Amino acid sequence: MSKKVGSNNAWKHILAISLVLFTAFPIYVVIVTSFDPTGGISSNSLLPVKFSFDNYILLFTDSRVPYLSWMKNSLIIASATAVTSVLIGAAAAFAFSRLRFRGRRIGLKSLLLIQVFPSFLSLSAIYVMMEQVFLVTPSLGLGSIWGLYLIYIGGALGVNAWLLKGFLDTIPLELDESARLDGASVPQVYWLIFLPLAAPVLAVTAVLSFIGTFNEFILASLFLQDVEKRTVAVGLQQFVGGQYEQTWGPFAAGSIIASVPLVILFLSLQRFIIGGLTAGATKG
Amino acid sequence: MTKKRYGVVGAIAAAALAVSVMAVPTAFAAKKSIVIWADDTRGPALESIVKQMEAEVPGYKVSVRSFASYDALGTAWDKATAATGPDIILRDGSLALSGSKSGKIQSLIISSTTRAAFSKAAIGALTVKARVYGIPTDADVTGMVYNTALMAKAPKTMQEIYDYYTANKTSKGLTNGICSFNGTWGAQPVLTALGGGTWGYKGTTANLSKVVFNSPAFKKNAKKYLLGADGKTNGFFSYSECDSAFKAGKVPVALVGAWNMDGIQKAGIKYAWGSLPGVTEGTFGNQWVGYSAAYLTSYATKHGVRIGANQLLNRFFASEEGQLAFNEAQKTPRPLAHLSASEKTKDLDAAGLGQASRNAVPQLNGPLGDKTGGADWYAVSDDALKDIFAGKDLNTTLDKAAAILAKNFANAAKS
Amino acid sequence: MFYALVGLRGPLALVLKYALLGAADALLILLLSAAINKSSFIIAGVVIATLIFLNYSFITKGAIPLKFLSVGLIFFTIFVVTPTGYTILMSTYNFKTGNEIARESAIVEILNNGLLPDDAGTTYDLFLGKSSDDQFAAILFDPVRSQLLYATERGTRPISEGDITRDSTGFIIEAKGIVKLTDEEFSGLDEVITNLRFPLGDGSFANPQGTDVAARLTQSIEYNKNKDQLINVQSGEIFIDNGEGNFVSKDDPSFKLDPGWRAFSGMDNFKSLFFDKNLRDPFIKVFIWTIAFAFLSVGTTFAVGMALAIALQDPIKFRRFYRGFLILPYAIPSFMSILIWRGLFNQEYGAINTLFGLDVAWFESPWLARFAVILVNLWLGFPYMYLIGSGALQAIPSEIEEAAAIDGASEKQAFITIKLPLLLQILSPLLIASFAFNFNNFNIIYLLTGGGPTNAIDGEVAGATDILISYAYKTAFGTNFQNLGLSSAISMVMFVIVGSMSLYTLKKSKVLNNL
Repeated sequence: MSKKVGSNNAWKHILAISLVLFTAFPIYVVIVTSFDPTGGISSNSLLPVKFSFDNYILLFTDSRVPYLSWMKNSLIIASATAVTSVLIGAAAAFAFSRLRFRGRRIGLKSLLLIQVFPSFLSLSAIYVMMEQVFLVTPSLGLGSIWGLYLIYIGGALGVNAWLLKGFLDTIPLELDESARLDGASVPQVYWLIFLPLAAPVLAVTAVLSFIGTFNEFILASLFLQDVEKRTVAVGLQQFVGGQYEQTWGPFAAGSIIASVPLVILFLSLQRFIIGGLTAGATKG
Repeated sequence: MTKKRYGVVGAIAAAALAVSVMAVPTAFAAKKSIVIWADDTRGPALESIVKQMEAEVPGYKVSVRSFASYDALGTAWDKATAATGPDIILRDGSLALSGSKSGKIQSLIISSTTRAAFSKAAIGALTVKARVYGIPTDADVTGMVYNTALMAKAPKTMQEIYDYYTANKTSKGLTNGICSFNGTWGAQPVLTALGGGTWGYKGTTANLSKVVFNSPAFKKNAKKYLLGADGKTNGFFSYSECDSAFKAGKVPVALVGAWNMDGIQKAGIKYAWGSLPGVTEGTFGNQWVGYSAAYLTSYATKHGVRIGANQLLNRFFASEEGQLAFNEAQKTPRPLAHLSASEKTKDLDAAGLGQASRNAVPQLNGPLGDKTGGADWYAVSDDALKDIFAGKDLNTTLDKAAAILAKNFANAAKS
Repeated sequence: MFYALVGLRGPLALVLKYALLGAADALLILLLSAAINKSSFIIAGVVIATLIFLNYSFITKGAIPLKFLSVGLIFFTIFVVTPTGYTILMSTYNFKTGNEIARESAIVEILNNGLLPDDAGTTYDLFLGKSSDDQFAAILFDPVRSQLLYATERGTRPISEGDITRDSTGFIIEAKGIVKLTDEEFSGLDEVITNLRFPLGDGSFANPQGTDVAARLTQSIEYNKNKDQLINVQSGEIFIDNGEGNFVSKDDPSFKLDPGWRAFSGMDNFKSLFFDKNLRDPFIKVFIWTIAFAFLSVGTTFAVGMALAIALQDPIKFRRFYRGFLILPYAIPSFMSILIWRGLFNQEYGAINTLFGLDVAWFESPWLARFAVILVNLWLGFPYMYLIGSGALQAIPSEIEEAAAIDGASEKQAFITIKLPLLLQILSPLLIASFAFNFNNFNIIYLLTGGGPTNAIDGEVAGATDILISYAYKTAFGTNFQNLGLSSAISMVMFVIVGSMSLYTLKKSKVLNNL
C-alpha cells in the first residue's frame, strides 16, 4: 500500500484545496449574510460590511417566526421517524436476510418497485386520507406532526429494509446457526446477536433517516398548515420562497442554527457512515 | 392455539376494552360552526373580530383558520374535500372563474342593495356567466410611492424620473429609476404609461380583439426609456429585486401594493403616494385592479351551514360596518371594495392607495389567465420584458408576445 | 443454557410482548370507537383489518417471518401502496381543472347555478317556523309591493296584517299558526331549510337565503333523471352527457355546462401523452433532459468524489481536515443549501456575479441554468461519492495493486486497467441507485430553478431544467390549470422506466440470487 508516500502529492493538495474552496463558498456567504442586518444575500460586497445579531434575535423574539417551535417539531418528528423506521427496517431486513418464507423474493422485489414509484404525486390521495383521519382524531390527521410521522414511516419499510439487508447478508451464517444449535429461538438470534452486531449500521441508517426527514418539505408544507406546527424546513422556506420578496438574513441565521447539530452528529459518526453506506455494496 | 394463548388473548382484549371504555365519546357542542379559511394577513384579522361576525349569524359559531402564507392557502384549497374544506374562503378574484368551473364555489343571490354598495367593476370582476360568485372585500391594486429623501416632489412626467435617474445614478448609487415590487403584474403602470399595455378600450370597456402590447407608441417609448445604447436594459426600470433595492434607498420610485408597506415602513423609508406619470404631463399609467372576495363554497351545503354562511357573507362581508371592522383589524389594510366604507377608512396607506389607484383598470382574470396561445399573460409579459432587457430585438419580441396574447384573448372572449 | 437464562422466551418476555401488543390494541380500539362515532366506516374497516392482522401475526404460533414484517407491512400498505394505487387509478380518469368533483355533485352545482332571481330581484322578509302539523310554514313579506303571504311547501296565500305582530322596527315577531324556529333550531335544520321552496304559483318560488330573508327564484335548468339529461326550461335546450365529464348542448357539443366531473377515460391520458403534439413535444424534451441530468449528475459527482477518494487514500498532510471539511455538503440539510445556492446565482445581488465581476442572468438562459443545476448537484453530491468511493477502495484487496506493481505497470495504468473496472463493478448498484435518485431529484429542480427558464414566447410549456418529476408536479399542481389525470399518467411512465431499470440492476448484480 504505502509505497512512495509523498512522491507526487501536489495534485492531491490542489484537488483538495479547490474542493475546499468550492465547498466553503456558500457556507462563507451564508455566515456573512446571517450577520448582515440589511437582509440581502451579500449585497455588492463579499466582505462583511455590517455586523449585528439582528437576524438571530429575530428568530427568537418575533412572534410570527416561532423558530423554537419549528426546531422542536423538526427534532421530534425526525427523531421519532428515525427510531421507528430503523426498528421496522431492521426487523424486515432480518426476515428477508435470514428467514425463508413464501413470497420472500416477490416481496423484496415489490418493495423495491413500489419504492421507486414517484410517490409524492400521490399527495392528493394522502391528503384525502389524512382529512378523513383528521375527522376521526385530529391528533393523528391533517395538520398534526404525528400524522406526518405516520406517513414518513409508511415509506420506511422499503428504504431501510433494502439498505439493512445488504449489511445483514454480510454477517456469516455460521453465527446464527451455532446460536440456534445452542438453543436460541429466532427472536433471540435477532435481539441478542444481530442487533448488537448491526448497531453501527443501524445508527447510520437512523442518522440518514433523521437527515432525510429533517430535509423533507413538500409533504410537510402541505400538511402542517399552522405556523406553530411547522418544521424548520417549511418555516425557513417561507423567508426566501416568495416570488418577489426574499429575506435572506433570518433564513441564513436559521439555517446555520439548524445545521450545527446535524453537522456535529454527522462528523462524529463519520467513520460509521462510510462503513454503512458501502455495507450493501462492497460485501464479499 | 394452546390454552395459555387463549388466556393471553382474553387478557389483551380485556385490557384494550378497559382503555377504550375510558374514552367514551363526549357529546358534540350544539352550535354548528361556519369555517372560514384565509391567508396569513387576513386570517388573524378575522380571528380578532369573530364576535362581530357571530352577531350576524345567531345560532352559528364562526371559526377562522389562518394559513401560513397565501400560497399555503392555495395549495390547501386545491386539495381540500368536503371532509375538512371551508364554508367560506377569502381569495383573489380569479377564484370566481376557477371555482365556478370546478363547482367548488357557489354562485350567490345578492340583493340590489348589496349590488349597489360596490362598484360595477368590483361586482363585474366576480361575475361569471351572469352569476356573482363572491362578495368583494378589498381591492388588489398597486400605487406609486416615491422616496421623499430622494425626490422631494411627485414626478410629473416619465422624463422627470428618467432625468433624475441618469443624473444621480452614480452619485447616489441608484440601481433603478422605477421598480415594481410585484413582477409584471405590478409593472403594468409602466407599460401603459409608455403607451403600451395589454388590450385596448372602447370607452371604458376592454376591447379584447385589440392587443396593444406591441403598439407603435410603446415600441418607440420603450426604446427611449428602457433600453441603453447597447440595446439592453439601461436599469431605469426593473421588476425584480425591487424589495431590497427600494428599502436600501437606491430607487426613487416604486410601484407597491398594500401588502408591501409593512416592510417599507420597517426599513425606515420616508415615502409619499402618487400616480405614475406618463410621457406627457397629465397622463398616467394604468395599474391593474383585481378584487379579492369572500366566497361561499359548495362544502357549506355538505356541512349543513349554507344559509348561515350565506347570511354571514351578506350581513357582514357585504356591509359597511363589516368591511370597516375587517379592514381596521388588518395590519396592512388594503383599499376597500365597499364604496361608502372605503371613504371612511382611517388608514393612510389604504387611503393613499385608493387615491393613487384612480387610474386603475379592471384585471380581467379570464383573458389574463388564458393559455390558448401557449402561455398566459403573466408568463408572456414576463418573458417578453426579460428578453428585451437581455438585448433581444424589441420589435420582434413584442410582436411575438402580442401574437400569443391575441390567441388567448380571442379564446377568452368566446366564453 | 445461556439463551434460556437471558430470557426473550421466559415469562418476562411474554409479558412484555403482550403488554406492547395490548397497548397497540387499546390505541387501535380507541381509534375504532372514534371512527364509528363519527360514522367513518372506511377508517373503521381499516382499523379492524389492522387489529386482526396485527393480533393474528403476533399470537399465532409459527409464522415467524410475519412477526418481523407485520408492523412495517401495515404502514407500508396504508401509506404507500394505497396512495400509489390511487395514482394509477387516476391516470385512467379525465381529472383536471373543471372536471374535479363527482358526477352527482356536478349536477347539484349545475342545478344550483340554474336558480335565477326574477328581474326585479325580489326579496321577502322571512318569518320561518313550523305549523301545528309540524310542517315548515313561513310568513313572506315583500316590502316593495307590501304583499304579505302565508307560505308552506304546498303553496302560498295572502294574509292580512292582523295575522301577525311586528316590533317597533317593523320586524315580524309573531304570526298566527306558526311557531318560530329558534336560532339553534334554525342552524340545526340548515341543510333542510336551504332546499325549502315555497311555490309562488307562477313557476317561481321563495327560497330562504338567510335566517330572515328569502329570494324569489326560478329553476331555469332541470334534470331529467330518466333520460339523464338537463333541460333549460325557458329555451327548451337539451344538454347531454358527452362521455368526457361534461354536460354539453345537444345542438352545439362545444358548449359545456360548468362544472364538469371527473370521468373515466381509459387510456386517453396515455394516448394524448404520446400522440398529442402539444403534450408529446414538451414530454420528449423533458424526458431527454431528465436522462442527461441524471447521467451528468452521477458522472460529475462520481468523477470528483472518486478523485478525492484516491487523493485522500494514503495519508497526506491535512488529510483529516480535508476529510472532515469536504463532507460538510452532505451533512448540511440540502433544502437549505439549494436555497442558498439560488441566492448565490441571483443576477443582481448574487455572490457569484459579485465574485467574478459578472452580470449574468444565470436562470434565464437554458444552458446556464442547466449548468447551474449540475454544478449545485455536484456540490451536494460529491461528498457521498467520496464516502462510498473511499469505502470501496478499502475493499479492494491490496494484493491486486501489488501484483500490478510487480508486473511493472505504472500507477496510472494499474488504476485504469485494474482498479477502476473493479471499483465500477463494486459500486454499480450504488451508482444505479444514485441514477434513479437523480432521475427523481425533485428538490434540486424545484428549489433552485423551479424548472425554468420557460420561454413562453416561443411557446414552451416545460422549462429548460424541468425533469419528469417536476414537470409532472407542475402538471398536477400548477397554477391556473391542473391536470391530475395526465400527471398520473406521466408518473406511470416514469415508474415503468425507473422500475425496469431497478429490476435490471437487481438481476445483473444477482442480489436476489445470493442466498
